[in-house]
Amino acid sequence: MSDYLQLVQTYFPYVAKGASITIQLTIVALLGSVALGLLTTFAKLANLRLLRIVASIYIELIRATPALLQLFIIYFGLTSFGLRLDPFTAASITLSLVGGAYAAEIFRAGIEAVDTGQFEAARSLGMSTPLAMRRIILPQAAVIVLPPFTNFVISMIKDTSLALTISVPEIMYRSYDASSQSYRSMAIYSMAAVLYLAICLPLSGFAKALEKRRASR
Amino acid sequence: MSKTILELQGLEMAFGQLSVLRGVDLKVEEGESIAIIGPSGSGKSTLLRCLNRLETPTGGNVLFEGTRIDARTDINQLRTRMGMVFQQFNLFPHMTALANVMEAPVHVRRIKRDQAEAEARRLLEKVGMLEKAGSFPKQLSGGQKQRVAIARCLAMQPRLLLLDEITSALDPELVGEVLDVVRDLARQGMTMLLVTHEMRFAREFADRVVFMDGGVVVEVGPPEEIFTRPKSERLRKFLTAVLEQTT
Repeated sequence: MSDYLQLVQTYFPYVAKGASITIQLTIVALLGSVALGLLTTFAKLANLRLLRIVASIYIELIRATPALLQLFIIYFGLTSFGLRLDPFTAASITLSLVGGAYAAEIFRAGIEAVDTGQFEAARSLGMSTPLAMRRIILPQAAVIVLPPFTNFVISMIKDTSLALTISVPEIMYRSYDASSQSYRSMAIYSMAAVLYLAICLPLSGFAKALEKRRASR
Repeated sequence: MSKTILELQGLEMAFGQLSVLRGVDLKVEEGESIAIIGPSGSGKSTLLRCLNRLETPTGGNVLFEGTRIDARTDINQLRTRMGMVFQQFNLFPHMTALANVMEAPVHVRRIKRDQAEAEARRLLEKVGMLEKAGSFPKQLSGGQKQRVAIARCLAMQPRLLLLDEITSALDPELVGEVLDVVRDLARQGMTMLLVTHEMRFAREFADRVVFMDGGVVVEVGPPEEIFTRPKSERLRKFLTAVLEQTT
């Protein structure tokens, strides 16, 4: 037992430092995902066929290939075009691209779930399409989208662990490192699990509360 | 005194192969209240939706205040002068009654907030909803929602109101309060096209009644003529069917 405490004392601060990287990466990737997701959603709902096609191709390409592969293409692959990204940047870009495709589908479902009568009412009062979107449709879609979006955030947090493979010093990278130094895999990875739980559980509780509130309305 | 505000010339509308309006001609004078009746699927609602371009007609002409509506018309501008009230109210659920009424004046006509609010309160009072100004739509009954929807429409100071089966989604005991508002508007000289199933109201309120069937106007006339001396077989059949339903 004292041996275990010793281990925690030695390695937990090191692994826990990764949590801050994990959170930073999540935040950057989320901002990127939301921006890309919104752009893609509007492209998919646009009148212009070309925009819709480009958006669909993007979504399908991302969804039909593993995120790890995309990460390797961006980090290792792009070097053949002379583009050398630092690991954190490469991971941020990849996770934004992946997240953007999934977020776009969540946003689109949310917008389409708003009753068409809302859009008609807005337009029949003389609102332009962008104004009706901004004032009437998006505020309602945001409420609809919040629970699935919270789940999306949770999977984004876990997906940041992929960055281990390109040496971004986040939770997984540091626990892998610590475990290969100490040969105490079970203990070290348990610490990592505790860290992920500490980040994700409050969020998933939040998502559950939201869904409950919506169901009771 | 009367001046033509709206004129339809051979208006046609088809959804793909399905022809819904097959040449509708109609002239509406300023200040007139017109009730449009007819069996479901006769094209009544589609007719209204073609006027404010929620649907784009596939043929014919619409002249509004003397100007032909076509691809070059500023549709948003047109819609500010032609208000529409819906069967399902379509109030904005994330806004209070007051905010619903203020929304278009503030964001479309760019009227100052305090001025828009004063006007919105005046309109809510007019429809008997001032004390519910701070309520959200889900806290209101169907009849109350529809009265707010009418106030929201009036806030744009439309020249013509399109009322699309505005009492069809209401519980029977709530129909009266909405029709009272419509009756007041008619008395104040608002030009209105009302698609309705309320025959008694159509008869009492309308200056003229339009009977539509199969995408055309079959008969037009003063309510007395339409309801007591129908000329066509189709109208006679329709009236018989409707009267049987209500008794």
